[in-house]
Amino acid sequence: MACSGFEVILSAYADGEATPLERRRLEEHLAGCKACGVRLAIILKSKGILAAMPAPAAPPDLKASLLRAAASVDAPASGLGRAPSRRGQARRGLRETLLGLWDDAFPRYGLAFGLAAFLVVGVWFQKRQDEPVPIDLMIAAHRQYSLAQPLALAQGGQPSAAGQDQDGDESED
Amino acid sequence: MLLLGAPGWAARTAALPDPVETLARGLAGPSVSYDGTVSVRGAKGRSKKMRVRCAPPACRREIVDSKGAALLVVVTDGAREWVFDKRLNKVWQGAGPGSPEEGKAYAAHYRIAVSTGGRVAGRPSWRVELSPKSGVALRRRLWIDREQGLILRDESYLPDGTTVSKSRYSRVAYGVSHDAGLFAPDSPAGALKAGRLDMDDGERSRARESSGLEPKTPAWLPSGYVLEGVELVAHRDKKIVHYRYSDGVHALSLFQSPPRARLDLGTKDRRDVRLAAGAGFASWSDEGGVLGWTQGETRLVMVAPLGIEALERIAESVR
Repeated sequence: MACSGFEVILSAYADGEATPLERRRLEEHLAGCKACGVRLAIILKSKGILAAMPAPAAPPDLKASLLRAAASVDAPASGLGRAPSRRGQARRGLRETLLGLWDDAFPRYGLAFGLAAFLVVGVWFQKRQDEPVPIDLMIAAHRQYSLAQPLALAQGGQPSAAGQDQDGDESED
Repeated sequence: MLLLGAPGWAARTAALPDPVETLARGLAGPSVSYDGTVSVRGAKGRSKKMRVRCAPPACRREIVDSKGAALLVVVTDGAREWVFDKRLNKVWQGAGPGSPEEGKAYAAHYRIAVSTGGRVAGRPSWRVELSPKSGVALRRRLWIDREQGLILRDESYLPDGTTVSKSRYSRVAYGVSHDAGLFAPDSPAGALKAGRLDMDDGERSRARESSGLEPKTPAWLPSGYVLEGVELVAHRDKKIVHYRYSDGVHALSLFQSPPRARLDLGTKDRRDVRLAAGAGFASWSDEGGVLGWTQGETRLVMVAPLGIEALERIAESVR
């Protein structure tokens, strides 16, 4: 597992909340990864600093403001006050996982993604510019013109009747 | 029995002239003056009568009404040509069509065959058959006066056999004397004047501004054709310039597309051609021959009831 996969476990490990399996995997990883060792040390030091700080006093209207905030949240259709379902928990977990992956991937792949998106848009735009002109459109325009050309109308050309242009003898040897 | 008929048969086949030379003679035309009446049939079967009087190289052709009054007059002195439309009271003038293509140029595009053609307008003729080698251009049949070389009858067909154009002399007389004034250009007072193939500055500016394209027009067209107008054909966000030409019977269209515009030929038969102007293709439609090519960054397409040799000559002259 890559270092990014241990970040969540590091925090749980520092809090003493990692499962036995997570503890064993992390300790195996830490044996060979200096960077994660440094991260763990930072987390533990932060915990120590935070623990040493006096706890801030709760604001006097904390309870009231919390109750107001709770009242303004839309109640789920299934009813107020019910514990989130396992499906809901799974969806939240998936969402957090995806967001975590995005946060991890974007700094590395964001530029490539942006470039790819630009290329796709560019190709689409170019294809639109290169859309073929149907030659039938031109032939139709020509046909319309040949039927209505002013010089022809001026001459009052009449449809040729059968044999009309058969003047003169026509015998073939 | 067979042998008895052999001398006559042998004499008839031995008398056939060389096809290319016969064609060349017809293209060059008579060297003597003549006067004749021609029936011309163009698009959708419209038929017109034409009076032709020539004292080579000068010639006068008039499309006449049922009473014989001239409606459209074409006068050429060999070097220049004037076209007068009586209804529009307009004169187009410009360079003449020049020398016809040589027979050799036709031989590059057609298989040429000659046979006896019977009599047309009372004159004995050779029949010359022009079959396009490509299979996607117009086929032609010409009946050529055996003695004088005048093309007495001319028919064009699409590859599927549909008739595109027909013309035939119903009467012709040779050696007639003509009044020299017949071959002076008609320019009645007050007539509008225009270049035969040129756009005026206003037309050119409008075409350029509307389409964003620098207009490209031919410097050569067959005798009688004039620029009648310029229109725009819209396709989505593209504007295609449509240059319209006519000789009073037939129509010729030249389309200019924006750079990089690809042409969708559909399922039409086509063959690739190589012009001095650039790569192109030849095809055909119900309206006649189709020639498309690229010139610089411009796409051009021509539609006309003309043979491939004429289409290519026009394309090569586009500037």
